[in-house]
Amino acid sequence: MAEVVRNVLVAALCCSGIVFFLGGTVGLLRCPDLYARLHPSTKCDTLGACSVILALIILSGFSMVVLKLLAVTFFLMLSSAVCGHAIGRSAFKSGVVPWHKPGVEPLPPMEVEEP
Amino acid sequence: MNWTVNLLLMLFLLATAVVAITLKDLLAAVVVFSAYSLMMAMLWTQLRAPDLALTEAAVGAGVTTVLFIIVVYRTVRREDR
Amino acid sequence: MKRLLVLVALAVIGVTLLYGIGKMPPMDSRASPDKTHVVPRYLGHGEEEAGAKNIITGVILNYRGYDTMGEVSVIFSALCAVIAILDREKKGRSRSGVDASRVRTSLIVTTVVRFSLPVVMLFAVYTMLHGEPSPGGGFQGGAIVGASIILFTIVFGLAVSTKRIPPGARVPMESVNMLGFLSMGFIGLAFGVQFLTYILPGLGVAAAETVRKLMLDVIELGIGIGGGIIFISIVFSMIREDRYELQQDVP
Repeated sequence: MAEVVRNVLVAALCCSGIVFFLGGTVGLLRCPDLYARLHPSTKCDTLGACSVILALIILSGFSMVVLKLLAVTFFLMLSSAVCGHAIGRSAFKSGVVPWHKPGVEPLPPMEVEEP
Repeated sequence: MNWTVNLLLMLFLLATAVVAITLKDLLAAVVVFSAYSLMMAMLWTQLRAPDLALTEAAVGAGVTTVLFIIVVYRTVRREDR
Repeated sequence: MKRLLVLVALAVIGVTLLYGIGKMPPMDSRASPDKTHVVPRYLGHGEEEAGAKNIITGVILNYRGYDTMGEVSVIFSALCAVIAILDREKKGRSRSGVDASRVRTSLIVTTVVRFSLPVVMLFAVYTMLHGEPSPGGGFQGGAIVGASIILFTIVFGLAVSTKRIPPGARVPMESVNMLGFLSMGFIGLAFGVQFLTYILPGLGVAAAETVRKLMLDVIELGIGIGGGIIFISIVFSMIREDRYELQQDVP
């Protein structure tokens, strides 16, 4: 019984990871501009890779490797999210105009308060 | 199983290498080259050479990319041809 | 015509090389020379002869010591070339550089870098010191140190970075890797044995073993610290924009 539960969990996590990876890749190819592309491509790393690693953790059982994998997951989440933020911010600051529908007025650039 | 993973890594390595030398945008070429280094590091671990993998990941994907980006930043970004 | 010549030359070289590969023993065969001579010697006697559990460290530092010394000097001469071209300090040029980036880094990025940098440094030191029993070693650890400090420089700017690592501390350390290697080599000469011999005569067996471990550690640390500092120095001297040049551009 425990075996079945474990396998089901692993399969579900793996499948969700693959779905996120697929969505991320499709979004990367289909989205119109940099800001829109950042959104799916960071999902790839955080949700996709992390759920696959979680599946690996459940599959392997508890050992020292699990701690390493957990550390990898943590840093993956941290670095990917921060990378997305940094890329988007620096692109906005250096004047990349967000995509807008032809015929629709684009949003005026916001003045962001510096902390 | 291992064999297919190695083959996929190899193919991706070749693809990144070809893309890196054909791109006209040098910044994009640098990014692709860093992906090449990462693939190479994974291949080294597959070939049971973790020392080399560590070196490749730290130097190839980390330091060299930064150096190339600085050079691109200080010179012209696009290849004129 | 030129293309044709290139193609013919490539074809000739390629066919020759492929012919040579065909004459070699197949990749996994037991008859190939490295399996009959090199591997048994390294795996069988490596630990006692070279003094390191990780056989790669033994090969790099002991069996192929001269080779590693050459590589270290290559990195050092790369730094020398960068300094010679980018001209570190000259009279009339301001020493404190201007930051390349005009954009202030966001709070999120600085916080995360502040948080994760110590962990990276810890891993680097672990890699450097554990090169003997496990994968890793001086150069790998040094590269990770260099990469982490370069990350710090990118995020916080050159001014903060040079305040944390002043040139007075950085510049003398640039030659640490060469100096460590050479001094350990000359210790052997001073004891009357060959250059880069780690087992010194005139000591007991246990003492000689300890001395060898110490010498290998010194070389590892030297390669690591020196390599990391060299990476940092190259990046610093590339990022720096001299005020002198900037003023000349303005009419």
